[in-house]
Amino acid sequence: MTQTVMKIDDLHLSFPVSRSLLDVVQRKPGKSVNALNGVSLELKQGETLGVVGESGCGKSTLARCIVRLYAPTSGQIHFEDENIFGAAARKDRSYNRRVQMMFQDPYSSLNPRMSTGDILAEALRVHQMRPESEIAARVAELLELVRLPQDAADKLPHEFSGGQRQRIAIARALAVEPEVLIADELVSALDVSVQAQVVNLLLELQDRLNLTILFVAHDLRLVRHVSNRVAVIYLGRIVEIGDSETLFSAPSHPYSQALLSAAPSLDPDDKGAAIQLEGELPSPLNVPSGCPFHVRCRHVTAQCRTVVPVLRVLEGRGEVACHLAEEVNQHA
Amino acid sequence: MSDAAVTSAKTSDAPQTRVQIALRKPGFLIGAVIIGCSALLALFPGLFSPYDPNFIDYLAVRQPPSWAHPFGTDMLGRDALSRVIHAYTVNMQMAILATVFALTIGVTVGALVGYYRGVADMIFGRVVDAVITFPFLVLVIAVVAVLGPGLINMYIAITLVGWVYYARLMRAEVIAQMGNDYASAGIVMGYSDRRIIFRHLLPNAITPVIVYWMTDMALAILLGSSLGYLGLGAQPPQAEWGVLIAEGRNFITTAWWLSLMPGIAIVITGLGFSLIGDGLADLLRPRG
Amino acid sequence: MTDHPILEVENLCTTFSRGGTALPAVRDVSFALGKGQVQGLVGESGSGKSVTLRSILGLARHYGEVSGSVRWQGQELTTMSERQLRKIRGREIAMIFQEPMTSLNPLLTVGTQIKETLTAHTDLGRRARRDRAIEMLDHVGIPAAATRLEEYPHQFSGGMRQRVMIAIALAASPKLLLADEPTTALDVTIQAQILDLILKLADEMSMGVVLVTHDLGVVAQTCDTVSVMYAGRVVEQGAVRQVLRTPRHPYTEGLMRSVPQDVPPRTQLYSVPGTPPSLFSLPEGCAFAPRCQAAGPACQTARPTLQDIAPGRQTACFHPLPATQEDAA
Repeated sequence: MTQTVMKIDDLHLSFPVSRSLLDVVQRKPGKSVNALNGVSLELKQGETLGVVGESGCGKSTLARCIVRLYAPTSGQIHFEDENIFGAAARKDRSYNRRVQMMFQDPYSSLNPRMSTGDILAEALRVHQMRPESEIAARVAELLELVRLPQDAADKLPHEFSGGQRQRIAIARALAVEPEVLIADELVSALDVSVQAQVVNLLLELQDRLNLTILFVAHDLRLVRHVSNRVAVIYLGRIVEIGDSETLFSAPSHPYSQALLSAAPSLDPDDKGAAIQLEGELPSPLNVPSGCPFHVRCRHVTAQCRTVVPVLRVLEGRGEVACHLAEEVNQHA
Repeated sequence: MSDAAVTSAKTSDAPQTRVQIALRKPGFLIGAVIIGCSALLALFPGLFSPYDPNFIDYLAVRQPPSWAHPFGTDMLGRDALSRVIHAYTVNMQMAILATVFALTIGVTVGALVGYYRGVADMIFGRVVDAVITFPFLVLVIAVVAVLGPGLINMYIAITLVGWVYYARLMRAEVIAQMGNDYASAGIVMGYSDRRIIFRHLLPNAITPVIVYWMTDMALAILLGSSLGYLGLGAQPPQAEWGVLIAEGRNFITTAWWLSLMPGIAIVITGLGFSLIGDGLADLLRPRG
Repeated sequence: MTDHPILEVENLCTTFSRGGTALPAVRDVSFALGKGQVQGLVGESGSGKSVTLRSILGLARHYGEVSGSVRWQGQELTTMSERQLRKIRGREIAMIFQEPMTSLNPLLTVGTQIKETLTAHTDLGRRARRDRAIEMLDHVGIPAAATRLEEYPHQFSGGMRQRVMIAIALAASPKLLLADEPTTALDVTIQAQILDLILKLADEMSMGVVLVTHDLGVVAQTCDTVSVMYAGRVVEQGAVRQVLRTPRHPYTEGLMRSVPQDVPPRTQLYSVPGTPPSLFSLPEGCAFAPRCQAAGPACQTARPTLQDIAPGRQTACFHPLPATQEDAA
């Protein structure tokens, strides 16, 4: 749990928005969506780091940056001390083998024209994981690993349910024997009873194969359940990060507090405690100045409107990016 | 929500194969029969034509349809039915040769610019704009005018212009498929670009292109015979529908069958390709 | 439950036919709803909860066969003509959907769409319609209502669009709101706002609500009574507190325990094995039997019907879980 496998350093990513002809004529400056505004993280060997936040907060963008689907505008990601966006590393396919990703939508993440067996065998062949003669046996082994029946190999993705498809996606990721798994909303599209099956499988495989997992999700209960540490993201910035149990039982950032209290409890008598947030997530097209959360925060001060708070350690808690962390938590 | 469950259940439990389902549609079946017969006529015209298409009989010129000559005879006394049948060979050849190169080039270029985007895509966009602002026929005639008339030059001209339409369609479809995570998954798995483009994206993106291809074959026959009619395509005495219509043109009031019969052949063959195209759309769509 | 329910659904069945096969999408659903009450329909995808909701308002007629009875303030809706139904839809019973993106017409301003409803269902004049539209937007918490009236749906965020949908639905002051997963597409902080809004308005207008959702937390926080559906049938129903606290049907229990709440972190979650059955091949006996640990031989061959097990509490199971003291009390 101590060794850092991946270090993300001040990651920024903005997507330019195409300008209309009118904007060009009026000489308006080109806008851009600021998806990530300086994210720094360390991923430690064998841990599960949960990443939570609302849609559009940049959590999926972060996941896609890590597997090099997006290149950051600035900032770096080091995997075992090598910059993954360096010229030499980009050509190196072994990174793609060692860091795998699983996607949210089980209906689009598998090629609809390839059988399960072909999908798994392709991964094995491209990375030469096994000699040709052993591929069939390894495919059978992988199906066994994710508890799919052996006849699954000959079937096409449309013949499976959502949960089974996610198992296939997990098997494909595990085929190349990775060290790090990025799970982007892995179970969000699944029914509750099936979610539990897939989460159980993931936890079990993590122990067995000593995997490091980045678990991106919007379901707070699930993140709490699977994570050792959790990062809360708001508008492309980490506002709080720390030990999962500490963060969930005593969130320190006003946004974390609101987010956690908004999740509807299963207990019908547990009502009324919700901290109602004013308004909605501002557009990432124009992130508010100062603390990005200040427009919705009930503790807001003049300082919050102008100065961007940085992550700092709060005694007995994790790291929090809030000017008023101490005051806010005294009241709590 | 339950609707989704119902439809997915439907496809997996459906007992028939896709071909069986497609053949139950009357349109597809008729199209398949028409094109099947056309192909037979094109491959073995000698088996079906009652006379030698080039046998000249000055004693029997411009005879109206009769039992001996169902489509009548032309101004040289050649059997019109035999000439229409022998024209199948060259007209069906047009359907294929005028489209297959455009298809191959268009699919490849479209897939590449759709996948890589960037500067190549911008240049491609300009080329598309330039090509589609001119009517297809005008461009093809211009190219034939430069190269000179004849079948080979006609194929070159149609390919030079036609690939753009395939590429445009393919590009759009590849970009749409890129929105699916299986393409991202391929990148994350470290697969080569070539593998992702040709093994993953292309099979999923090509369906509308194939359907368009069928329509385009019908258009190619129409275009080929138009050029033949104008004297820019097949050259007489070759039996080709456009040439045949042109030959009959001078006698349209006295020997109408000479132009009408090849015209009907064009319509029926074109209809066949269109009907097959519609049916293929269902046949090729992935399930799920 | 009040003495005079405003909505009574009895033995509602909806059947789709696909390729010659009859699919039992909804079977024998019965529940009653009092004035100002919130009834939840909860289940997984394909359980028939949305189809039930659509059958109430006669929307399922267009693609399926509906039988049984839906009585709305004494009137039978299942046999009512489309023309008569149209008078009830929007005016007395309104509906909101999951996708606020696609349920609004992108080509018309929000104001036009609210006023359209008012024209159809009220006698208000032009001026009064505009005032009422502003009042409604204001009511659902959209700031600067007068200016936003002239804007198009794409200028609103997801949460704001759902508010607009609610404003349109409630413009004619209906007495019943049918809500089909109204917050599923929204983030939790926005979900909390929208659910609060629905509850507040239901209370103010003493309007009944039937809420379809897959989220047990939403049920716990908003509903008075709940029906748990599985494979087209209600397997358990009753007061929310009782059903969620002491589920008597193994499926309800499985659903509750699948949610990681109050379990040690990173341990194996309770999970219901297998997947829900396809409507094409429903088991002969209890539809849940193949996934049920309590299933005995009877469950494989006979189908349990909904039985009263306590006042206002029903379950369809041959081997219901034991009642606790709280439940009996």
